[in-house]
Amino acid sequence: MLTLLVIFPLLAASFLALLTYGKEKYTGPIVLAGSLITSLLIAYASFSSYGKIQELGWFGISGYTFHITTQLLPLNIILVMLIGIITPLILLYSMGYIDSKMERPRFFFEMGIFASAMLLFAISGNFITMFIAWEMLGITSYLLIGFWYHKEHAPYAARKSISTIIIGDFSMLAAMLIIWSSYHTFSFSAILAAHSTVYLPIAMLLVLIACFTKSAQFPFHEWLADAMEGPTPVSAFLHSSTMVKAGVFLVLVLSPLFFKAGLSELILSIGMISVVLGASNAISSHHIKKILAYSTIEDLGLMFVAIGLHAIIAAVLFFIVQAFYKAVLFMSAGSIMRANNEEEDIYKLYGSSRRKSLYVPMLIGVVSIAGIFPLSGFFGKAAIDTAASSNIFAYAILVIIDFATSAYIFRWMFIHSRKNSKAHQSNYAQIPRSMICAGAITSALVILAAVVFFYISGFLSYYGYSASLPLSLLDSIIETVAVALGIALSYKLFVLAKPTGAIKTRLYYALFNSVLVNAAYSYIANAIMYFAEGINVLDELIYGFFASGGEGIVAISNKLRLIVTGDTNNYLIAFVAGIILIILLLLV
Amino acid sequence: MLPIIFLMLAILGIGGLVAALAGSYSRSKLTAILFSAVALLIASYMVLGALTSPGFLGSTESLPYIGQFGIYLSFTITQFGVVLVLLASIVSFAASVAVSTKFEDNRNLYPLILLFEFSAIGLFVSANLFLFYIFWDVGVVASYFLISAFGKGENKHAANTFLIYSIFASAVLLFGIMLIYFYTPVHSFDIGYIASHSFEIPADIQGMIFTLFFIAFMVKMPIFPFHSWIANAYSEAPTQGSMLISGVLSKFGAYGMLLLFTVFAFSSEFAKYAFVIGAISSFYAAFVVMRQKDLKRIAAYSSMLESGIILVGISSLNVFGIAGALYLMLAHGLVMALMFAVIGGIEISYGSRNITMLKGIVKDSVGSAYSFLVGTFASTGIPLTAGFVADVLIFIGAIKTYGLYGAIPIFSIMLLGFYMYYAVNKSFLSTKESSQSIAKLPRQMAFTYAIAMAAIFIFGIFPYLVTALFGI
Repeated sequence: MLTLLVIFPLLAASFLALLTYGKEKYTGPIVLAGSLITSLLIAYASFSSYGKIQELGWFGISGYTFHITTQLLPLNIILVMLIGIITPLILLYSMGYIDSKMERPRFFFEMGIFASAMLLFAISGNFITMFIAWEMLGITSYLLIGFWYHKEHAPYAARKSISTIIIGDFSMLAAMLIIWSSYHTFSFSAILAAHSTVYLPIAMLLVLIACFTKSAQFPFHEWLADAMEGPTPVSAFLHSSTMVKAGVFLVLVLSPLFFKAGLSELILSIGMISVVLGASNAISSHHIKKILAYSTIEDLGLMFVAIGLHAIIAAVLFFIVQAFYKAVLFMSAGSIMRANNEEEDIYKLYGSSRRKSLYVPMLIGVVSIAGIFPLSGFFGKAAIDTAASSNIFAYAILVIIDFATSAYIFRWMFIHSRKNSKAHQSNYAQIPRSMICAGAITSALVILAAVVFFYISGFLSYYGYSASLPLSLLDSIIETVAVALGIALSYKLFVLAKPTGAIKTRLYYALFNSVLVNAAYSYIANAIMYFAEGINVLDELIYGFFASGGEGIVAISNKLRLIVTGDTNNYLIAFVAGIILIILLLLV
Repeated sequence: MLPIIFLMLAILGIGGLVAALAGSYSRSKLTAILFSAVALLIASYMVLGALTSPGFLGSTESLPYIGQFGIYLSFTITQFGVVLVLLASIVSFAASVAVSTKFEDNRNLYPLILLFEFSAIGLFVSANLFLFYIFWDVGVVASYFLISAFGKGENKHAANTFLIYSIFASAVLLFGIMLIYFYTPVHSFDIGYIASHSFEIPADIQGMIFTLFFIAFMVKMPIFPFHSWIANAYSEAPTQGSMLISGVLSKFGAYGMLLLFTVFAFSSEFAKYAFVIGAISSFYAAFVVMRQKDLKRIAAYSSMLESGIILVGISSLNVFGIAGALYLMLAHGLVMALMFAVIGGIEISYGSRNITMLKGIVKDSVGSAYSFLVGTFASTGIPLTAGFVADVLIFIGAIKTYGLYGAIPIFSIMLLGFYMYYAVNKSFLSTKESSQSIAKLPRQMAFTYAIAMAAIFIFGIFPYLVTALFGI
């Protein structure tokens, strides 16, 4: 089967959604149906096209053909399946979430295109196909983050995200063209098989920059927190299986090239910095979605750390399990906000424990992200810890991060599950059924995902990595102890102490350093603007230079035309003088 | 075979006359739409012929004119010409459909549009430098009146600036042409003949010819530092004028540059300087854009940026760079037509083009807002719009010739992207406050947007329409 076909039901449904203005109750079901057909096709294609690389000619020039290439190797199948499972759930959630009829067609259209772009990314087998999907992801995420045009900060957040992302886009473009010039092919499989060339390190560095912008790693991480201005289904989608996963995925697919180019230390160190920044901001923020966003930065950092340590299988395992628990956490966050009139400050949110069908899935997500046996998150974290055990510095940081993660995620849950006081009326009965339902299904998947641990290394044997995924008992115990301490601390500070707001000590400012990063961003932007101002002054000077040339000519003409008076006497004098001059010249 | 080029030029000439003599504004407009549609059909037929029948490219049509000086009315269809003819006819068709509020009763506009199209198409198919120069100057004259005849006050100044720069370029160009004529062994204007004999020109004259041509084409493209005319010319012209001047007239220079580097073998030794100038020009334009508030000026400087990129492509002197530059001329002409049409539409709806005044356009005129967004995507080269394949080819060519330095100009487009998205967010997709719309968008403008966008997507999704001309 042609792999590219799996995208089309979803793509067609998205365009159909645009035609449903006036009949908005059909919009959601149409796109959901399209995405379910796509999911079925994905399941079919994963068996029928397993291991196949398919090329379609796109255009050719003087003997070289540029292809649209798709491949379904094990890594591609993992991502495609993740998208195939999560997309319908998110769309189901959105059907309840988007309650304004006027917004529905546009929302489902953009979501559908976004998901299709991610699918294309997941099956792409060469740089040019990947880049098409990469750019589509960029612009649809821009539109989705700024979806609510009327909100004060949403357009700003969208601009911040696109401004960060196009740095990556153009680095990627430069990188892939440099690679083409060295190898004369865009195909991943051909490039992976070829010998390295002189330009490989610089090209892979540019690819890495692009992946860091997409996956929100230091120093490009801040856009992800602002992206929370978008609707919650977008956040749930963005953080679980799409967009931010794109960068990590590309590094996974091309990992041998990065190792060949000698970039594993860079990947490891940027990953470490991002992990620390993500965790510290997550601990100190009190915006319900931003805590989760910083937590995503930390998760992605962990994946990069694993890749940097050459523990590809651990990275892939964490890649899979993170998608499910992050989706369920964001879905719960959206539901809680809905029950509290879209309030975003966790200290003003109450009573999430009142509705058990909301609370239980959320608890599963929380326990999983904290990393408690036997939920899926535990396996992911313990595998990465085990991989790091040879590097004592990395190991120490990772254990502290395990502790911090369980502390902030339980803080997150403890605070908004406090009982209502009379002043804060929250209504958990008004959450639409589809939102609750999507959350419940996703939480079941969080539990099931633990199974992945037992099959992952067999599934990835295609790539010839070491046969099994090591998971040492000692590291698991250390991890569990760290997590337990985190929960205890959180319980003490946020349940027993009954806090009512963030306490802004010096420690708080040290942890909540996103302010500093944002200041650095605007400093750079201002520097560019001042430089542009200088160039504009130069531009006026150039205009002035040419204009004064013109004025000079006019001035000369003004002087010269005084000679042309029409006075016969003057002409006669000039005439006689000329004749005398000529005679003199002839004599000499 | 049918003398298709003579036919096309004759149709446009007759069309211009009919439009000039038509009794009323609406009849004149209708004539222009009809004749430019016919021209568009013929141009499409030419592209089809070039793609399907092997002997079509290079076929020549010739009539004797001043035989004793070796001057003929000879035309030929090249792979460059056929693409640019298509561009000129699409943009002219879109421009004759478009409307601009202030000058609605002025029916001089439509004959000028057809005259301009006549000159552009004549230039792109002329087979000798004599005709090249004639059509070049007809284009200048038509553009001058497109700027100066519509509006009051400021536009006269802009038109004069434009004219002074253009006359300077024409004079330099004429000097260069005369040098070639006198230094080729058999005095000839024929481009094919000059191409095969360019090495017989003395070496010091070669450098002089190159410099003269290069400066003339730099003014027209425009390339730093001869760009000062564009901001005023583009922003003071009526919508249709801006579309034609930025979309097609700037391609006169780019096409000339393309001929210069492909016809004259000696120009290859100057290519690296051209690369540096192109790169500087594109970065310069990217920074100048950042302080502009007038939408038309933003579009004007983004056009200058793309001209720099085109020069980078041409200077790489391999098939990727050349084909990419040609592709970018097409893509960028279409994008500029779309951008200026949208800006014209916004001016009709809101009476302003200043992004500090305009707010929340998506609220009242959805079509204009999203069309501008598409224009933004296209001008930053998002895949599936025409600019993407062009950028890919140009920079492959540049990297092949100049190594890693060839990749540097890519980042000037990134700088443009920063500011374009800033403008979009400030004025288009943020409805916290929104400006009052004073008029509905006329239906003709919606058609204009549709024509330009359709072309942008067609050439983005089916790039082989252009690349196949360079051999598959």
